[in-house]
Amino acid sequence: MIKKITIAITLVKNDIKIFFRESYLGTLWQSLFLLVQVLAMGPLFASIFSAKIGNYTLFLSINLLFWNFFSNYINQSTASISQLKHLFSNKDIGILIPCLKTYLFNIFILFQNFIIFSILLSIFYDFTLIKLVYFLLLIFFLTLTFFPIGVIFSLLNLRFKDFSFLISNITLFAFFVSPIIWNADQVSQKVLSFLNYNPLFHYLKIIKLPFYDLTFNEISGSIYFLMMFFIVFSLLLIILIKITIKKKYLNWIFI
Amino acid sequence: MILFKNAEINYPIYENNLYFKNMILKKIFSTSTNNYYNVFKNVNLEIVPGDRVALIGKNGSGKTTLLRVLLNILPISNGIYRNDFQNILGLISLDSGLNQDSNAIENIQMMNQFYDIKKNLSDDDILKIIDFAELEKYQNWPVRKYSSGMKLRLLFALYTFQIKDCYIIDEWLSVGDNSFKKKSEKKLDELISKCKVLVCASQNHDLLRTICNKFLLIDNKNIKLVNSKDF
Repeated sequence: MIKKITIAITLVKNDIKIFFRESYLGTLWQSLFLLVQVLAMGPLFASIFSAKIGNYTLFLSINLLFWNFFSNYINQSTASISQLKHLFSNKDIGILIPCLKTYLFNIFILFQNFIIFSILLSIFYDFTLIKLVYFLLLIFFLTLTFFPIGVIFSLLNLRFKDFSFLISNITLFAFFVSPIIWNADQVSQKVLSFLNYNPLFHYLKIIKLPFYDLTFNEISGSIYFLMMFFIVFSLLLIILIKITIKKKYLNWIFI
Repeated sequence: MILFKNAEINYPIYENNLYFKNMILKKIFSTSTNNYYNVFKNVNLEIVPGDRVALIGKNGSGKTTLLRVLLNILPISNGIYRNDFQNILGLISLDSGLNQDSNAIENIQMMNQFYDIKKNLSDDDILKIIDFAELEKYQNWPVRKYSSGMKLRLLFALYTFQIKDCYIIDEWLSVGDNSFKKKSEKKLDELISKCKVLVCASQNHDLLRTICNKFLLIDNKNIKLVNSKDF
C-alpha cells in the first residue's frame, strides 16, 4: 500500500513538473482560472441577486473552490485508468495507483487554490488562522468521500466507452441544481425539500461552517445524512466491485 | 516453477456491449450475455528453472495472450495456473511505460518504481543506463522528441540493466542500428545465460532455435511440445 501511494505521488510530481515545464505558470493556471471565474461572476450575480458584492464574492469563492475540485476530480477520474493503460501492458499495476494519482493531483490543486484564495480573501475579510485550518480540514475530509466514487467511475469508463460523456453531462447538471451561484435561501420550501436529496447541497453547507460561524448543531442533521449516505454507498459499491470484477478490468483495458 | 493444469483461456468480446447506452438497452430488451473467444483449451504445461521456452505460432494464434497470462496481466478462465517466480519482467509492449512528456532520467526513475528493475536505483545507475542507450546528449529531452530507435534503446538498456529470474519476451530480441545491435545481442546473451527462465515468442525461428531449449507450438487452440526440427 505504501509503495502504491509512493508511486502515485511520483506520478503526480511528474505531472506537476511537466505542467511547469510546458507553461510558465504551470498548475497556477488552474488557480488563475478560478480567480477569473470569481471576479467575473461575483459582481454580476451579486447585482442579479441584489446581494452585497463582498458577501456574495466570499460565498461564491468558497463554493467554487469546492466545486472546481469536485467537477475536475469526477471528470478526470473517469479517465484515471484508461490514461495510464500503457503501463498495464507489461505488468498489472492495479487500479489503485491510477485512481490515487488522479485524487492526489486534484488535492494538490485544491490546496494550491486554497492558499491563493486564503491570502486574497484575508485582505478583504477578517479571517483567523483557526477558521482557515478548520475549513481546510473540513474540505479535506469531505474530499476523501469522493475517492471511492472516483475508483468506481474509472472502472465504469474502462468498461463502457461512452461513460465519461454521461458523467460530464451529469456534472454540468449538478452545477445548476446545487447552490453554487445561487443561495438555498432564495428557493421555495418545495424546492428546498428536493434539494435535501442532493448530497452536494449538504457538502456546500458544511464547508461554509467556519466562515459563517455556524455551529455543528445547526446542521447536524445534514452531517449525519451525508455521512450515513456516503459510508453505506461507498462500502456497498466497493464490496460489490470486489466480488463481481475480480481481475476483469484487465480484460477491459485490452479490449 | 510455472504450472498450467487443464487451463482454459478465454478472451471476452464486448463488440455489442461496449457502450453504456447499449448495455442499458440490452438489459431492458435482451437477456444475452457477453461473448467469449476461446484462445486455449486444456493447457497442460510445466516450466522449470533452466527452461528457455520458445512460443511458435501464426499471428493471432494466442502467443501474446499466453505471455500476458504468464505475467498475470490476463486471468485464466478455468483450470489451474501457478507462477512461483516473484522476480518477473515482461517485455511485451515496447513503448509501454514511457511518459512522452518526461525526459529519459524521469522515465527511468518512474519505470523503476513500476517494474522493480533495481532496488535503490542510484544516480550513477541512471547514468549507466543512459550511457548504454547512447542518449547522453538527449537525456533532458522529453521522450516524445526521440525517434522510435532511441526509445527502444532506452527501454532495452533499462529492462536489461539488472538480470531478473524470469523474462517474458514478445517479438523483441535485438534493437537499434548495427553498432547498438552488437551491444544489445551481447547483453541478451548475458540475460539468457543468467536468468532462470526465459519465455520468448518470435517469428524468427532460427534465432529461437539458437537460444531456446524447449519449443511450444501453438496450433488450433492447443499447445504442443515439439522438437526444434518440427517447425
